[in-house]
Amino acid sequence: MKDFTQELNEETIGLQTEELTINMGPQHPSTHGVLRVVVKSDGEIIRAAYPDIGYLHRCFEKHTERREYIQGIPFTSRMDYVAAMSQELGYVLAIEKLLGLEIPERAQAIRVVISELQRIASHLLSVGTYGLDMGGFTPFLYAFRDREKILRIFEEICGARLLYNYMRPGGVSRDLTPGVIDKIKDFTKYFPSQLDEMNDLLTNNSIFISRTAHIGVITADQAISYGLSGPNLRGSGFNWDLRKDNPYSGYEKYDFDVCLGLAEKGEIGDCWNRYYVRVKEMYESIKIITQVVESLPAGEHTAKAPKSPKPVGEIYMETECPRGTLGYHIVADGGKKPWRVKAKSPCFIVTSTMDEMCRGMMLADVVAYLGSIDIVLGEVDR
Amino acid sequence: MSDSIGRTAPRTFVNTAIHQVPKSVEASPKTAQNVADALKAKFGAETVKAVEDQQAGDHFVIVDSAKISEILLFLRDDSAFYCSNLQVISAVDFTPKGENEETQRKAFDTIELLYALQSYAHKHEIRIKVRLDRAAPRVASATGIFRSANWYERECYDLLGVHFEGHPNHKRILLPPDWIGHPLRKDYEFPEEYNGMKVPL
Repeated sequence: MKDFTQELNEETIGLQTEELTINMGPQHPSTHGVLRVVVKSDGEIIRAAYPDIGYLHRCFEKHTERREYIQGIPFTSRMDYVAAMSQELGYVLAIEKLLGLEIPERAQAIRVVISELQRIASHLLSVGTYGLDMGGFTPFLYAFRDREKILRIFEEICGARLLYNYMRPGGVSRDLTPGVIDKIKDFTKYFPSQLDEMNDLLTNNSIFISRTAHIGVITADQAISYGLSGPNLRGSGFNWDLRKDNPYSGYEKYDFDVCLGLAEKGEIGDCWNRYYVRVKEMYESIKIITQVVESLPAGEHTAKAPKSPKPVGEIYMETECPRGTLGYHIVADGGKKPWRVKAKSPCFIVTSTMDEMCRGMMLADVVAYLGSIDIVLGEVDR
Repeated sequence: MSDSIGRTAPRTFVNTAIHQVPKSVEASPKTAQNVADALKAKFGAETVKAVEDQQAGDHFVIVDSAKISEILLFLRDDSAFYCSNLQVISAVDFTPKGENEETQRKAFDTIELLYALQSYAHKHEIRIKVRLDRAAPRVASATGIFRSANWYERECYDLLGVHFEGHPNHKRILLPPDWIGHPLRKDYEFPEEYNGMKVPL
């Protein structure tokens, strides 16, 4: 019997369609913000993808030069508006290092709790919307329900749901009340079972796996050369986490594991593994939060810090945010205002991988790739 | 393996056992003075301009801008440093007169570029700086050494007007292509309007 498919394949070898330029965005649901991608496609195959960014550029770096150090904190939370606490923490840690401040243990512990809760909230948004991009609507609602619980806790702590302005050089602006600590404890008991449910709904869903496994593979070599960090680097199997390798704010006191892409499904460095690193990190964050709230040290929630600090010196310092390592380069000249503040954003640099990674991909997989690298355009454009 | 313009494939330490943490090499943190000595031994004494010790914060090695490509390649591939990660390229404008009147910092008419390098194997961070002429800042591009340099350099060009020679796509990245001026320069004048739209201040 004649093999019809083979004959068809032989006939179509070398057959090409006209190259088509498709404009994706800036207003497109799957771009998670205002990202424009110019895609050159040959039929369903991508030949080139040029990301065009800057639609959300507010140049916070220029704004901070005209304001006092403390007035820069609200600007940092507006960079990555779904993980604002972590952004603020990096900024105040850099200022503290310039001032040489000693932070009370309670303030450090509060910061760890807050930034791990923020990591869960941020990863829930990422995981939920990724499911939405891949056609699963239900996990999105479950993720937002649980994220809302964290936002309620944050609202009780500092009065805001998204843009907190909570961190201060020296500590945090308000202490945790016993009521809030109970709520956090309840959340740590409630959340792991919900995460198991998320695994049943999305992680092990065969449609989701076939959309994401073996798609958009970033090797560890490529990830390092691109300077990727956070879940994107660890999804490629490279063990690097600043919380372990260069601890700040007392992370060395807590017991947790660094989650890597281990190819439970698909292969190391593909979209599914990057996604699954985030899910595993949420379990680890719960582990950290439980340890901290069980033994929350008593004491002050802030050190005696000057209201208008005038640091001298220059520093580049990185912290581990939900989306990777966020760095601040601060040039302080002894004045009330910083001479220069620059933020290194992990999302900015991961967006630059699109051109290389999307070549040869199917058109629908661009959305899978874009969701798996988890960018927030506020941080890309700053 | 290198092509005609000296571009080599970026190397890492995790080719075979990818799950292993690359901690096989003994951690040996480097101070700025160690780096300066190594660079002097390799490239000659005049390569290192100064070692800058801040009162607080990081320590910086200021090097000759003409040799930055060789230095970055050396720091990436030499076994004593193994700086495989370029964390950021950040540019700072220093003018004789700025907005900060009460400045304690010596003002000099220059643009400083910071290359923040990090080693996964040795767990150390190295800060290299070059000083460029403010009127016409030009430096060789690092895109052949680190892929991440591509967008960082475009950002430095966009916001501070630093020219990177040999960059494959030397265009603005955050601002629109027809924007005039480089906003993070200290003497930047804010435009009153852009394409007929009033710019709010």
